[in-house]
Amino acid sequence: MFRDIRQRLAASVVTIVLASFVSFVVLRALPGDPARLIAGPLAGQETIEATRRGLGLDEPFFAQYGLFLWDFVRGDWGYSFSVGEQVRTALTSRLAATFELALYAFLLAIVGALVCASVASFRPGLRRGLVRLFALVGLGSPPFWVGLVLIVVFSAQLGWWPGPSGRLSPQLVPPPSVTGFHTIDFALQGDIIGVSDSAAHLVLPVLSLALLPWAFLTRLLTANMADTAVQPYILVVRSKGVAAWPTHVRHVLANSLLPTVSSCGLILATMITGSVLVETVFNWPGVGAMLTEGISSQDFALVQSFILLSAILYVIGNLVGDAVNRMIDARLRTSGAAQ
Amino acid sequence: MRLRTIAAISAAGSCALALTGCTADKLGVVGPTARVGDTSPLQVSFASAPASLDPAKSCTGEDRQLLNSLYARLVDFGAKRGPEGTTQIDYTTIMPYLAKSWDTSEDGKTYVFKLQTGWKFPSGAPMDAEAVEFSLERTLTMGQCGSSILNDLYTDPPLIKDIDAPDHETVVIKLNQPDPQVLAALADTSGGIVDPTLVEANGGVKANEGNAWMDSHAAGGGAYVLSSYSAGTSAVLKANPTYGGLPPESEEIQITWVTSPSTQLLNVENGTTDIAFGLSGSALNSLKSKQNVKVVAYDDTQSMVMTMPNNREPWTNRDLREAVVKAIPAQDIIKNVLYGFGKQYYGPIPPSMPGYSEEHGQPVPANVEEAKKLVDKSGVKTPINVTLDILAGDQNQKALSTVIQSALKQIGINITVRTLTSSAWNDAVYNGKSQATLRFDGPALANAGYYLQYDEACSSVGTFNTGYICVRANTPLLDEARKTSDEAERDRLYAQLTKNWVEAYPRVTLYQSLTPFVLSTSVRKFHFSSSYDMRTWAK
Amino acid sequence: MAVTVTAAPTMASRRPWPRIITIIVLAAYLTLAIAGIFVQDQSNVADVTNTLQQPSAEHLLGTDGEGRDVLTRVAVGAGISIMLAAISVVLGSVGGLIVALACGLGARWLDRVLMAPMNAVLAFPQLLLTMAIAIALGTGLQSAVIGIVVTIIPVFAVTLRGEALRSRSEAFVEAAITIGLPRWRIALRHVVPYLGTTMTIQVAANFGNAVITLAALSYIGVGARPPTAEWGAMINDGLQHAVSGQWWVGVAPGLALLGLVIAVNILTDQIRARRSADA
Repeated sequence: MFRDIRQRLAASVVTIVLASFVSFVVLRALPGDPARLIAGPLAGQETIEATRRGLGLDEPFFAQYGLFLWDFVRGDWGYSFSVGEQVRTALTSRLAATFELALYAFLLAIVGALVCASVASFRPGLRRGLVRLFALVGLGSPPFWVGLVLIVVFSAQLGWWPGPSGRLSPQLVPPPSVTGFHTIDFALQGDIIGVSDSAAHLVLPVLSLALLPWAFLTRLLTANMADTAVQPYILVVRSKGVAAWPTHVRHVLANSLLPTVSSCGLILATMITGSVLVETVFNWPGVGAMLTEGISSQDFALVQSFILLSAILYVIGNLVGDAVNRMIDARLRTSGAAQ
Repeated sequence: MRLRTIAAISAAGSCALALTGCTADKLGVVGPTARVGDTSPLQVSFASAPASLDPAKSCTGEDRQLLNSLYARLVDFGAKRGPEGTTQIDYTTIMPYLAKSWDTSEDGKTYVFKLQTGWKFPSGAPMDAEAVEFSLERTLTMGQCGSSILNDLYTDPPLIKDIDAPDHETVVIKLNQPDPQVLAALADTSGGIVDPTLVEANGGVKANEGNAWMDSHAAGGGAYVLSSYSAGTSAVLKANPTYGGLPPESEEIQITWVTSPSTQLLNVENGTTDIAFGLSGSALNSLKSKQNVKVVAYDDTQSMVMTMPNNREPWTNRDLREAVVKAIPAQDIIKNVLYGFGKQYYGPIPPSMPGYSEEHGQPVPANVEEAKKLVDKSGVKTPINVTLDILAGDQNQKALSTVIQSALKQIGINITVRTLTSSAWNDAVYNGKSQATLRFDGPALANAGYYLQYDEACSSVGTFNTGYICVRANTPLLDEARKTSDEAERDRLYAQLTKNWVEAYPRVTLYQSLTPFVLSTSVRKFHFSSSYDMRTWAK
Repeated sequence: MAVTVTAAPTMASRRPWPRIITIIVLAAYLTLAIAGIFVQDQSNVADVTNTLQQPSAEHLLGTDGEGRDVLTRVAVGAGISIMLAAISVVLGSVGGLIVALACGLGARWLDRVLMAPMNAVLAFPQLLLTMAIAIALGTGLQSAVIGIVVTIIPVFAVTLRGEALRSRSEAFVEAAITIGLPRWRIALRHVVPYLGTTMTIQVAANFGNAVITLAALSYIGVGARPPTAEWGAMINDGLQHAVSGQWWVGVAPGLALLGLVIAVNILTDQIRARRSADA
């Protein structure tokens, strides 16, 4: 078993290094000259040269790459000229907002999928049809458009929730950062207005971001539950006199969770990068908007670090999913069975 | 106060938090909860954020947003009356600031400034002649945008020859040639005076290189200190207690950068923003009927132009250029795309700038029939294919490019629009790789000499002069106009220059911006300048 | 979003009418797309005197900020989306198939060498990589398509590789190997037909994703160049009018996109259901 884990870890490291290399190459293939952009249109040749040296762009290609990896490991992620801050400060100060959005959306997707799938696979009828329709719509909707529709309906027309106004009403002062999540930090302060305000600002963006994975998990879980429901041991449980709904939840659902649980790590990782699309709609001060601007101005340091971080996150998501799978399912634990 | 909190808490409880959307507005919270009772800070929002707070850089309009509030300068521009009880910058007068007076030598090449005494930086260091010398030399040494501006774009030799501080209260600046505009250059954000002790402690000065610390920190002794700064998101300015000049009108200013236009509009509508800049034409139009805000537009020196690099096909043909100018319905564009926030003109100098010629700078009326005839006369074979470069994410340019495309199709020119990221756009435009570009900008120094040297001088072709505009007869006129201090003579020279320029139809001048600010009715004092000096902003 | 639906088991109904409706809807989209070809020129003509008109008899879906008819642009957008998504998926599937065959039937080292970059691409946030590639090649629909192809090749490669490996233990492939047929002939004659159904399902499932990704790229501003009537770009246009009340500019193209993707996804489910019924 340990050999297996070692192999998987080695494969993950290779993947991460390759991913960083691909992003490094692609970014350097982008048209334009970052030194020119930083130094500004009025700059003379000497200034542009000096800027290029300062960015390390005059080094040989592989030296640049090696330096980037080494610095990244040491925790020096470079300087982001498009933001005007150290990359680490810029990323970490905005990641909290992205994480808050992604985590709540993730929770909504999981809980929503559990409820929808349990209802849909319980008994055929109108409810099953509705859930199926929901899943189809959810899988077909681009998150940025969902955001737009939610703003039109619930913010502009009905006025129930705030529209594209970021994390907080502007008259409120952000709470002192403990977790970086406004809802929790306000709660720690005992500021009910703050909690309520930041929660209200979360509703529409969370819905937009959650819809797609929610629909996806609903489909996945419903299908698995339908398979489980016809297994003989379920019939045994029923024949012992357990009522239909408790059987459905306690036995069918519990025994169908495996694929869902193992896909969770990856879905969470996807949500963090996918929030790029939703953040721009709601003016959410996360990494999304900063990143699109960074790509556009060829802010190598910023974009590389983010891509590398996401790749690491992805790989961890995969490993965790795998580990959870193995913990739950004893059959996967023997080495070689993973194939 | 107590009652309100209790009411708010019970309201919050009763609407079960997020599910009914209990925002602060609905709970009746109007001011920042942390400081109910004091005078609330002035709330300012901008659409795009600076990439640096260093006066030695100040390349773009965004970079200038905070500088005049954070840094003092030797001299300042005057103010004149603006629309709706506000004031606006007067580029024609130069006022004392840290320098209480100055003298010019007979040959116009030496300036001697006498400084105020006793001004200090927040660190306690004196803001004296040595600090001024350090600051200006720093800007020149670093070779960023600020150095080009201080040199009024003179490069060979540079304008400023030497800066000297013979005693604590005297600064002597020697020039390589006479240039009355050097005072305007010193009044620009690039002339900001920095605290030498802070700069030396945080990276010092390196030739031809930027200073990363200064990008996100302030080292000034201006009217405000930077109390907190989160790049691209928010900043808080607090009145500087050690400031030597008149204290600023607001104790505290909170600045937010809001990238989403609809967010900015919402914040203005619900009264949480006092002063907003950067809204789109259609958003401003929807605000015109609102009671709690007013939209005030200022004559600015920024212009939207379409360059037709005169050295490239098909633009080497003068008649074709004239046809393009006449085929584009600038008037309709201003009315329907910009909702009136633009002023039509044609020529090298916008109407807001001293030196504009009433006689020769009049707009060219659109006339498609005449344009068609000009195309025939030009002898260029139609259809002509042209690629027009615009900036990604700029809604205004996107709309304009669509209109231009439709208009030019009528005279046989097929436009392909190419959307470029900011980096690629800069590369294409400033390295001469673009066939046509939509460009919205204005001079750092609002005077015709600087602007023309930047944009139309034959000697700048291929560097700043991205339209490759070179009207030979104008070269001596411009040189003479830049050196003279006689205003009537200067205006005569610029009028002649404008006449020559217009006859060549070297580019499409779509409009001069009427820069709109949204002010809530609670704002009692506002001063417009293209460098956003916030010292007199207050509610 | 890169949540691939490929692994999701089907929820398809056994009744025939969903299939009939789906086919009718897809036919309607094709008709719309063909109609779009004829009004292509018209779709970009700005009319600054006629901006942001409400839906009316004259403009069924209203006009946008530059006075262009939204319905015309939605129709043109249908053609663009269908054609480009189809091209991306076909190119991606062919690329993936080649990699999968090489991995499944080739030497062990070839498998390792080829799968490493595939896994590296899969380890990326898909949207981010597509975006970076599209920008690197210069903004435009062509670059967007290349970006999408690069990111879906590994999706195909991984799924098909598994099937190809399985095919190796099937009697007909073992027999062919034993009699010494060249590998490429085995691949073409025996393995490709074996992979056929999986391919079809993957193509259908990825088509919807390609439509959405294409729109997402244009929405961010690295896909279609203005004034191309691409759905994602139109949704972006609509965003700035959403708060001030002109909802139709952004909602209409999104609805069109939604309908297309739903129809294709139902079709995918149908194919899947038929296959599991066969098995």
